[in-house]
Amino acid sequence: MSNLELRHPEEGLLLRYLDGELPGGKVRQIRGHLEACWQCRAQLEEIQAVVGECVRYRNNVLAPCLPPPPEPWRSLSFGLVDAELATESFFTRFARFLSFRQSPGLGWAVSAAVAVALCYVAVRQLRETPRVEAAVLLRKAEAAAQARPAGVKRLSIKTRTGQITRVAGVAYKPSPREAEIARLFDAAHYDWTDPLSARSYSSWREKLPHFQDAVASQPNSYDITTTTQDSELVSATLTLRTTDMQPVEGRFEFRNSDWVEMTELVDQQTNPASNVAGTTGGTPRQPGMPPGTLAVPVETTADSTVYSEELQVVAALHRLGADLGDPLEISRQGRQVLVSGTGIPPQRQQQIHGVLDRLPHVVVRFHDPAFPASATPAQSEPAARDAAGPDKATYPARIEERLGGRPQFERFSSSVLEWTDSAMTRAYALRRLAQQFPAAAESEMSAEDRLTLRRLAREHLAAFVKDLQRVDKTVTPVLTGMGNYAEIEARSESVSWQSATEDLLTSARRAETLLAVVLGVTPAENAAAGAPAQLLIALDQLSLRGGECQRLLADR
Amino acid sequence: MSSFASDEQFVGLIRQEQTGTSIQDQVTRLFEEARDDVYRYLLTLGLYPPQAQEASQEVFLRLYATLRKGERIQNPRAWIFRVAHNLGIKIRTRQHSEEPFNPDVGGPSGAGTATPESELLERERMTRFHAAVQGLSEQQKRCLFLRLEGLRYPEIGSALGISASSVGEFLRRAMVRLKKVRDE
Repeated sequence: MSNLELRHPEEGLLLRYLDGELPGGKVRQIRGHLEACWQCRAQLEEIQAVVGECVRYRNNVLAPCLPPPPEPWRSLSFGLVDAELATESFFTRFARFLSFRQSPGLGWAVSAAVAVALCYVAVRQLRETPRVEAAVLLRKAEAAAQARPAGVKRLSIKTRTGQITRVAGVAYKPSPREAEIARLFDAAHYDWTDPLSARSYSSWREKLPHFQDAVASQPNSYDITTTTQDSELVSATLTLRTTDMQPVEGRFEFRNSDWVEMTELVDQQTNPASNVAGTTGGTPRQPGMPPGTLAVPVETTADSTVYSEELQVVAALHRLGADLGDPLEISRQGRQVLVSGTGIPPQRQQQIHGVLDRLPHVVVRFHDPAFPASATPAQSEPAARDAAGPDKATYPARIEERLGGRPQFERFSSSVLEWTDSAMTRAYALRRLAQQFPAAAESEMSAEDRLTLRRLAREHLAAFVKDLQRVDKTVTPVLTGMGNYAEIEARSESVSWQSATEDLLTSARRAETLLAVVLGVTPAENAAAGAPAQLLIALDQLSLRGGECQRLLADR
Repeated sequence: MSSFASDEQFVGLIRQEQTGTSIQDQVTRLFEEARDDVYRYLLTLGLYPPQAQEASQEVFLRLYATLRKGERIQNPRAWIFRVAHNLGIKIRTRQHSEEPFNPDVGGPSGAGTATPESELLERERMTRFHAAVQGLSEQQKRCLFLRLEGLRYPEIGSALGISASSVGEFLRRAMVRLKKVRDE
């Protein structure tokens, strides 16, 4: 009889025994001991009883008490994933193929077959590129739309016979002329509820048995054109604004030679672009738009009162910290500043009412969540594609070794990730501020408002720089020596702090992505070798960008 | 023979879309089976219901993308929870200014209990148990919830970035604390 059989096994060992987590030899020893020992059998039963209690707790307490999903489950959009995968370069796919199925015996014949197949795939890839590109752009536009709070959209609709204005997203009785246009769209199975949206466009396009896509990249927008012979709508073009993938114009041509053009209208007072917290908002409301197609002139009157009121709202939200990712939208509605939010918890709603209700001309509206309340902005960087990469352990293992153990690495990693997240929140907030009050708007402001605006920007920047310095101080000593460290690029010369924030955010995103690779949060599949060294360079670059912003934000 | 096999594999590569349908079926089946569990787990991580639902969908789309890339997943359920955990933590850390979701879990509904008295006792017992679960350390809770979802120690360790033996230790401590409540 072994020692183990004589001694009572510890509780942890019994739990692992019950969970089947012990090697075979130990299992036999413990089983032998249990057969002989009533005391340990009783202890085992107690553990089993607690396990049973946990299961009852899960089934009878957690399951019924947790709120059910707010919406019915949607089917999974496999098509979007397929489209995204299809945009990967052939070489990426081929490299993956080789990495999974390496076979040493490939001969000349196979090489020839591979070469032929390469040509075939290359041709096929080229032929399919516009279709894939269109699908990916539409998907991104849909994701960006989901991340924006739902709002009322005003459309200027032009046809061969005239022009009307329509409000999308609210129920009302359509005019006879609008009903006529709606019938055209209905006949083509194109959703008229919100015709100038990526979702409606995609939904129509995906139902077509045969179609061709063309994608034209303009300076400020992408034009996606789909043509088909299988629908009453034979050609449709959707223009997506590059900065935030928002559809800004559409042209629809029907089989009976009718055509419809639509553009989104911006309220005349809305000189500062409406801005959605947490999304990548964008510059002018209608970039690249032919002037003739707009029912409302793009050029709006400069009104410092408008900026002043919006700035007061932003400053009030800033005091609450509600400009750091809360899903709020600030827009103009006639004379009033409309602050709307979706999915804001009740307590937070009260706080926001508390600071905004006292301001003149401000209306606050909250809606029940019809989509993820705090969906993160659609981002293409791979930071979130985590988990399963084979390279995952490479950098973390080396860092762990340098730090002296796993617990040290975990502390290091969690601190650095926390500071990075905090810094990113500030970078986004700063960029939103810059978008809402561009340089031209700032020049129209009163001196007092300008000071307020810069104070807000400086506060975000100071918090950003503080977090960045923490990351830098913690990461640099550990990563130095893990790769070749090169000189950083020359700094960019931004003319305004507003444009400098864009560069700052771009650099911050790069640093965040590299950090995720180095800490093993993201598999390093697309990262070039030497991610630690690249990260150090990116941090230096970011430091310079921060300094540039600080210089530009200094009082004039 | 080997060259034939390689050719076949290569043709398989360029015709991935044909195999996609069966992968779609598999993922759809898993989605229907496990989506509520994933959703619930994400709520326990502090995500709000709309976020948790969206993140649950995203997890299964990632599973699909991973399978389409030809990667092999030994235990899809463990993989799903691992990815759900990472995604959930990422979403939470992005919104650190917001309070985490904390549902009001008052106690069991009482369905299935024999008498009002036993119902009351059961409710009290489960309320105590809930308080004890809430009192566990974050790692103990994560290990416990993932174990309740059927993950093995190495799988939990992989999700949380700790070793399997640490998982065993966290679970042991959790069980000791919960046992005390049960014995009270």
